[in-house]
Amino acid sequence: MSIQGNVKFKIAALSIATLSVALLFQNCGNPAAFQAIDTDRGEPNLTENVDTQTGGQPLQYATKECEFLDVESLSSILRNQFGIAAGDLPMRDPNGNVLRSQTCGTNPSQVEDCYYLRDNAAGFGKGDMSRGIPDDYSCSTPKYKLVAELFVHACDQAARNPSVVAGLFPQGINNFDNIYSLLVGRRPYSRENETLQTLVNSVSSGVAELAVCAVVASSLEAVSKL
Amino acid sequence: MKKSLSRREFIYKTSLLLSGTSLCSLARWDLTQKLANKLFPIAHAQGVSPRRVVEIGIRAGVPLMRLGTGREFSQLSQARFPNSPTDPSGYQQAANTTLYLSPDNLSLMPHAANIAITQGVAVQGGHTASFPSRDANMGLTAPIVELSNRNPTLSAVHAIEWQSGGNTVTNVTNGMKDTITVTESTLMDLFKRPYFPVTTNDLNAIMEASANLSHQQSLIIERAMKNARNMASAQSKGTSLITQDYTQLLQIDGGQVPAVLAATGGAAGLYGPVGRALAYSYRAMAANLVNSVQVNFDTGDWHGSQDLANGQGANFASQFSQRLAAFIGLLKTTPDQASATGEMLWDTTVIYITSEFTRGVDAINRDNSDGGTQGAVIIGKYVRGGYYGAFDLSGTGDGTAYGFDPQTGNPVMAAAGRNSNAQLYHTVQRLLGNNYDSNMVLNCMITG
Repeated sequence: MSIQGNVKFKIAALSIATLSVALLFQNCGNPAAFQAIDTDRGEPNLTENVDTQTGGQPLQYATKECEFLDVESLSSILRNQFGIAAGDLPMRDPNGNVLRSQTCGTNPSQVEDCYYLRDNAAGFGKGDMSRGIPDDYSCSTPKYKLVAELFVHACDQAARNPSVVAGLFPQGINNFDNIYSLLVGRRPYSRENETLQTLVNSVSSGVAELAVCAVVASSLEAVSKL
Repeated sequence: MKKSLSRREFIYKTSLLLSGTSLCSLARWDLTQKLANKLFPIAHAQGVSPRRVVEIGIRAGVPLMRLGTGREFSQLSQARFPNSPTDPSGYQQAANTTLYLSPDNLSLMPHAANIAITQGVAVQGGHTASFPSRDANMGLTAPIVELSNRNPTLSAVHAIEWQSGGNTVTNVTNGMKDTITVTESTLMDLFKRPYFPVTTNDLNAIMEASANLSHQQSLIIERAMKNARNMASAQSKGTSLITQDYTQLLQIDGGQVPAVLAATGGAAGLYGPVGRALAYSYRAMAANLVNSVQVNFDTGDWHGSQDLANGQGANFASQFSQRLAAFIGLLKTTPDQASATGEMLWDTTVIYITSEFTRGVDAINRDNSDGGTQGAVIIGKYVRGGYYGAFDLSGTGDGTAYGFDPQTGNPVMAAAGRNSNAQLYHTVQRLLGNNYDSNMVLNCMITG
């Protein structure tokens, strides 16, 4: 006889109450296996995400595949939205120093600084027709990782530039309309505003601009061609 | 009657409950997932077991009979074919199978009951980098692409691909995500925790908000983008990779794998990188960082390998077999983290070895140019081991490879009885839980 789901939940709640005490001092450092942040929050509830957009109309599911931004578009964002004139950023080693390698740049006999877009073009999907490799702008976990890394650093740099910050947040850090319009192409819905406000409230002082900038810039909609 | 909780609802409610505790975010999610897996197994929820595939693509025109063959070669009075250089008395039959292993392959003996080999498949499509038996020569999606795009193990990355040597193997994707080509260095880059100019707590908050925001966006844009919620999941996994350093889980040079898999140089030769690719792949699957793996390598050209003692064949058979055996041994002793029922990687993984065509049984002093057949090696818990098909070695000239009955496995000694690439393709598709044509499956190769 199977156990009802609600009973399972009660069992789990009791288990959690016990386990959470034991886990209070758990080391959260080294994982034993991959566990993604789970965004599986149940079946889509249209009322939770679209204020008036769907209006109760039946869904018509799309056939367009997710297409990731190409390196030129990403470079343009760095240049035009974040004031990074070079349109690219140096990569950092684990100690924060600029990463240098013989595999970076165009001259294999020289050790050169490594740059996110120039030296990860293949990772972002740029093909190499001389080797018969076509462009691949499908959306994948490694691309999302790379772009999130890029934008944390880009937003760190942007956050140090008062004029850029003023452009992204003209009405202050608690208003996300402008940065959303610039990077996503529309204003945020209420649930999105809540997520960003929660973020602002939870990060250290002085990091809010960087945090909101990085989250919006690396979000699903911002890095997809729609 | 009260409505029963779904797995999704359970995760959502448990997450809310845990958010009131002082557990760090990763520990909260870890706990939630463990409880969900225990009480609402993923496999049960999805109606399938975790599945993985390790595709090994070997160029160019490799005689797969060097990994195991039929009894005919053991009955010769002397070795007289370049691709069977072993003294006939040296072959050993694997228990309860029709598979004969040479001294070069004896490392595979412990696993022989689950190794199916054939070279009795009719040539279709000629030389091609997509390998006909991986797409049934009809432009069908490569098995690894179809499986890894489903990603039934919810791994961080759907599939990685190793390339060793100049030649590559082309996947037919039909619009799905292709595998991600890696090297030892870029694999580490993929799973290392990068430097960030913010504290760990701030970074965790950023990445959690990023995952939440993308999830909310996916619900908004799902009418504009196919599989938007799956893409949000991929984005979430990407951000999860940033907040943790998984590279320690991938190390292979500190005794984490048998020495033969990590070895380079010397006798390992060009098979050293192959072993290391298998070792990294094992580690990545064991940590559920990847769902499936493609390992491609080039043995060099087999033309002119008439010399029984020194041909490329001897090195391929011994060096590759040792590494393959060690890899299978690891699968058998390592739990699959994606399984809610305690399965081992061996229970969930199929190994599929193919070549663009197979060289057969030309006689010694000829050019070993026979490319008249294709073949495959299929390995897995639900594979019935054996050599499938037979060789006609009568006379003193070239031999001929024949196929087998798809249901009984009995040899069919006629050219018309050779099997097809489509049959190999659909057999593997069935083993992986992919879409398959039941009329094309080689049922004799499958148990259970």
